[in-house]
Amino acid sequence: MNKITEVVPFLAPVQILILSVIVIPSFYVVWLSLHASSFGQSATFVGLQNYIKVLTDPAFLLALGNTVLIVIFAVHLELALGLGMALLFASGLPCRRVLLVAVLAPYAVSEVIAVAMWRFLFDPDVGPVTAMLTWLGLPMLDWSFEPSHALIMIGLLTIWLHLPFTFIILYAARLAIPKDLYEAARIDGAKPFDAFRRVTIPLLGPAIVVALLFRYIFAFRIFSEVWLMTQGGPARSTEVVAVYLYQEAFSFNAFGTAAATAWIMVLASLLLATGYVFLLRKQVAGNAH
Amino acid sequence: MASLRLAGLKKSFGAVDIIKGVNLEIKDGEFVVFVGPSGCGKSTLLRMIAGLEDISGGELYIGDRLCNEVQPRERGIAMVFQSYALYPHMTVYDNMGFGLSLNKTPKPELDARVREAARILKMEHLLERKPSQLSGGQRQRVAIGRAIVRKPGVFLFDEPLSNLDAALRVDMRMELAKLHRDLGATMIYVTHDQIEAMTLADKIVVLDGGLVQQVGSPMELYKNPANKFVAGFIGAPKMNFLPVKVQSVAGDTAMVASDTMSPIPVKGRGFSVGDPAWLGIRPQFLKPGPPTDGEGALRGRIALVERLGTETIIAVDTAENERVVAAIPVDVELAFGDAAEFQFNPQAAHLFH
Repeated sequence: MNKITEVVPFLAPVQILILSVIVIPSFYVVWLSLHASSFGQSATFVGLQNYIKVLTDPAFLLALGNTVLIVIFAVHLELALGLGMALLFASGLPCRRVLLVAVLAPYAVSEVIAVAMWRFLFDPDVGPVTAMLTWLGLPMLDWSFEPSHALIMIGLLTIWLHLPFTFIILYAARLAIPKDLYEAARIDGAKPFDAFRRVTIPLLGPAIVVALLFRYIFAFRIFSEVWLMTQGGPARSTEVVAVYLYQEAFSFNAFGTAAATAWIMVLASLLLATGYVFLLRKQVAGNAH
Repeated sequence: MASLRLAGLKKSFGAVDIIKGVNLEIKDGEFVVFVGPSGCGKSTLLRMIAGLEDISGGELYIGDRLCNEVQPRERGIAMVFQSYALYPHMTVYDNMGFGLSLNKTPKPELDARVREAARILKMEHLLERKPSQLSGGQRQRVAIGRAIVRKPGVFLFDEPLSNLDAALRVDMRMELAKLHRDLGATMIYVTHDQIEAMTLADKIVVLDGGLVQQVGSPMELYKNPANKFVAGFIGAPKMNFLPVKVQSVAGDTAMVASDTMSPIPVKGRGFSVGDPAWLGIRPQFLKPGPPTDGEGALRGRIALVERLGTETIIAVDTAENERVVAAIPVDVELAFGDAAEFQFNPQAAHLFH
């Protein structure tokens, strides 16, 4: 007993921090999601009305669809690129240090600056990339007008911004695989693709799971890229779930539905993460057998 | 099974020559050990035979086939690495069958060969385990098993026992010797441990500075070392070397002496009167006591005594401040600083340039 009273004061700061920053706001958001609430009105209990309203709102469904598209395409493309680059770097690329800095640079750039830069580069009228695409005879990305182009642009931007994260996890994991294993595989008769399929991929499995899991969650709550690039426009067509939440809370002052959206996001993220972790662990274990 | 021929084999990393021209014949079924100090090029030479390092010059024949440009998988070799190099995500069974599964060997044959190798190495009960669930010795067995399963013409071992503890190393050494007897395959084994070399080899290749210093059977190397390096490397404790001067030469025998040693006749070719030389005496050939007629003598003060029970290793500092080591096959109690005198038969001594 004495011990507990001695220990508690030391643990208290962390507990208080977690309680005040995570636990209490979470419960408050749960409470809020069950009430209709706006500025200048007292909250009234509406049960699960907010959840139903959000889930049947075409704008939310569109936002969810866009988010899922970004999660599926951007994250997997990014993983493939990150893996390819990690393997390329590990294979003994010349000027590796300089290239490493170049690859990691986007992670050091603020999202706001990154978006401003991309907006300029891809500007439909004066952007250098647009000019180059036109010069090459390729279709330009009309992201300020065409919703599908805007989504492609957002996808490319989020890949560019987060590729260093995926890359560095996979590169570190690849470097941790001993060279001897590849030599043993070569002597055992493995061609480069056999070594990739039967040695590299199974041994990178855990790192791939970690990178994917983080990126699913990051991508699911994507906000700044979209908000700074298109603000969800034109006509709410490129909204993602986090932007929808922001609009509900701060444009329409509908705190109840915004809170419900937040909880839907949390549950969806958890579901996504659990599902994928389960699947990939099974796959890793399968490979390991 | 296969024979090997290395003709003027060279390897350079940039401007640095690691292997400077190695000529060697290895007969079918022979157990050859490459031995030498760290950095002598022995592992590089093995890796060149394996195909893991490119050959900068010369020719490598495995059987009758020139293999300089042949991929490792097509050389008919298997290799056991110092680190074992087991695939951590695969079971012992899959590790051993990996090579066969790659070349699409039918399942029943793969199974039979893996189980046969497991039986030879007495590890049938480990087949379903992962490498992380095995001890160092068991991992080494799996690595050897993986090599056996492929039925290679040549087995290559790269310091396979150096990660094991002393007792296990002795056991594994005996098992490897038995394996060689049972399989009758050509084996090339790299080590820096001369005891492994002496006990396992049919033929030892002593390397230093990227060059072959001597090739021969263990006893040939022990009894007739070609140079001071080989003499110092083979045998434990290390051979003693004392600086002497040649006083007279008669046929194959040179009379040598130093300030503290009376003239003695030693076998040695190519010496002239007045040449400086090294007199080599193995510690086991030094016997305590004063010299009788015609024997060499060494005197000094005891600097170190190591009592091992069955033998005593005594280090003595001579008046010329040379350190001489004697190995006496009995247990003797001696005190640090005592005067000591040893005699030796000059016929057992060697003379080097």
